[in-house]
Amino acid sequence: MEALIEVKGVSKAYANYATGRELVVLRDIDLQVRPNEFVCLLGPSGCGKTTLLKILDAMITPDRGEVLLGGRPLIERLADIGFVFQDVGLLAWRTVLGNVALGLEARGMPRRQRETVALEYIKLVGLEGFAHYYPHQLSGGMQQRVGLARALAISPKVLLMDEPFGAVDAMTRQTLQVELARIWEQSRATVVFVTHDVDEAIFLADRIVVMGRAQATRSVNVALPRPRWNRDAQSDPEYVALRVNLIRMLNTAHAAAAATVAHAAAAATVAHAAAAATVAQTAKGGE
Amino acid sequence: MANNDSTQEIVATPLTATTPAGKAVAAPRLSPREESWFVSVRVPIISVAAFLLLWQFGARHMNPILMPTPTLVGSAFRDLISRGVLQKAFFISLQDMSYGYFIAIAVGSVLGVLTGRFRTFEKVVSPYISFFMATPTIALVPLVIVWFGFSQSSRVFLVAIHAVWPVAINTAMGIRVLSRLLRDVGWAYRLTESQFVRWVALPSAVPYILAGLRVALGRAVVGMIVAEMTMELTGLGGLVMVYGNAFKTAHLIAGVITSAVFAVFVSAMMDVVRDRFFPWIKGTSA
Repeated sequence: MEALIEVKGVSKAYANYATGRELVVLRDIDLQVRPNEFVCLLGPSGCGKTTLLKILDAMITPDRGEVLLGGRPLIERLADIGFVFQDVGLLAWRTVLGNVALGLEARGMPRRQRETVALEYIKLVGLEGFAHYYPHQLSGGMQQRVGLARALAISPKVLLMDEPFGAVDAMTRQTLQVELARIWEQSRATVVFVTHDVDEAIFLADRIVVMGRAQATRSVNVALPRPRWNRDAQSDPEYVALRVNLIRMLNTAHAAAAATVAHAAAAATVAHAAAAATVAQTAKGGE
Repeated sequence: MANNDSTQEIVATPLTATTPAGKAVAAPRLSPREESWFVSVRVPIISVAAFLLLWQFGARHMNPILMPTPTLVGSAFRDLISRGVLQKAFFISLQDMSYGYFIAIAVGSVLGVLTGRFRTFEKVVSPYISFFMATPTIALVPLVIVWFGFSQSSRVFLVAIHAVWPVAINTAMGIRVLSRLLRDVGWAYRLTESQFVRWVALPSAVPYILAGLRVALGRAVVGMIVAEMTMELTGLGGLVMVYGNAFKTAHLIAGVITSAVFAVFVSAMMDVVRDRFFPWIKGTSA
C-alpha cells in the first residue's frame, strides 16, 4: 500500500553557541508510514525522536529533506494532523470543554456545533461529567485524556503523540495505553507515537522504528494479534523474544551513535581550529 | 446550683470527662486554624486600638494645630460628613482615578501586547517608555495644565500617564515569557496570530498583568492625589490641601485617612474582580 507519510532524507542540526559546535539531531532520516498504521518511534532520550515528530507537524523546519503527506507537501495538509504533547499543554483558563473545542473553534465552527463534537470526544476518552472542570481540578492522567480528546476532536488523519504517558504513574499509564488502543481500533487514524518505553511500544504498535542518536536504525513489525490487553502478554514467548531483540537493538544503536558522535565531535573540533586559524590570518592580513 | 453547673460543664465537654479523676480541666486549645484567625483578625484590631489610646493620651496637652487627638479627628470626620464635603470629595476622586486607571489599562495592555509580541515594535517604543518612566509625573503638571487647563481631563490624563507604564511593562513581560509548549500548542491547533494572542498569549499573561494592574492602581491613587493637589483643588487631594492651608489639622488628617481608606477600598474591589473573572489563577503556578 502507498505510504501516507513520507519522510525523505530529513536532517536537522542545532548550533551550540557555548561550544561553537553543531549538534546533529537527525541525519538523513527516511521513514514511510502507511495509512491506518500505528508506528512507534522508540529510542533513548536525546536521540531526536521528538524533533522528528515535531518536523512531521511542521513545528520545526528541517535543514534538509522533506516531508510529504498523502503525496502533498506537509504545509498544504496541516489541517489533517493532530498533536498530543508530553506535558499536555492545556489552557489553564479554559474548561475541559473549551480545551477540547480549541481546534474546532480555530476553524470557525459555530459554538453549538463544536461543543456537541467536543462533548462526544470527552465521552470517548472517559471524562463524561468533567466538561466544565478546569485543568487544575483534574489529575495528571485525566489531563492527558483531555489532551487526547483535543487532538481527536479535529478528526485528524494523522495523530502525532509525543511520549504522552511519560509523565503519569505506572498504573495510570497502563490504563491510558489500553484506552488508547481501544480508541485507535475504533478510529483507525494513522498514529506516530514517540516513546522510550519498550513495553509501551510493543503493546501499541504495528511497527516499531528504533532510533539511535540522530538515526533511524531499524524497523520492526509487531505481529502480535490485537486486541492485546486480553492476553497475558508479558509471558508470551513471542513477546519476550521481541522485547529482548528490541533492547539489544537499542543498545547497539546507542553504542554506534555514541561512536559516531565522538567522531563528528572530533571532526568538528578540527574544522573549528582550522576556521579559527583562517580568521586569525585574515585579521593579520588586515593589519 | 454549684453542683448543677459542674455537671453541665462535664457534659458539655465529654473529652475531659474521660481524663483521670481529679485532674484539672485544661482550657480548650485553639487549633492552628483558629490561632491563625486570632492572629490575623484580633491582633491587628488590638494594635490599632492601642495606638489610638496612646495617641489620645500623648496628644492630650498638645496644640491641636500641631497634633489633634483622635477624638478631634473624629469630630472633624463628623463635620465633614454632615456637610457632605467628604462624600463629594470621595466621589470626585473615585471618578478621576477610575477614568485615568481604565485609560491606563486600555492603552497599557495594547502597548504591552505589541511590545511583547513584536521585537521591532519594542525597539521603537522602548526609549519613550524609559523616558516617561524616569520623568517625575509632577514635573508634567504645568504642561498638562497648558494642554487641558484646570479640568477633569487634566487630572484624568495625569492619573493615566502615571499608571500606564506598569501595565504595559508587565503585559509585555507576561507575553514574552510564554512557554515553548504553549507556542507549540498554538501552532498545533493552527491558531491565527489574533486567535493566539486572544486565546493563549493574553490569558497566560494574566497573572503578570494583574500584578501590573496592582502596581498601577497604587500609582493611579498617587497620580490622583498629586493632580488634585497641584491643579484645581478638588477631590480628596484638594480637601487635604485646603484644610492644610487653613491649619485645620484635624480635618486634614481626616482627609489623609479617607485617602488611605479609598486606596484600600479600590484594591479590595480589584481582588473581587480577580476572583470573579479569573477563578483558574489559583490553580496555576505562575
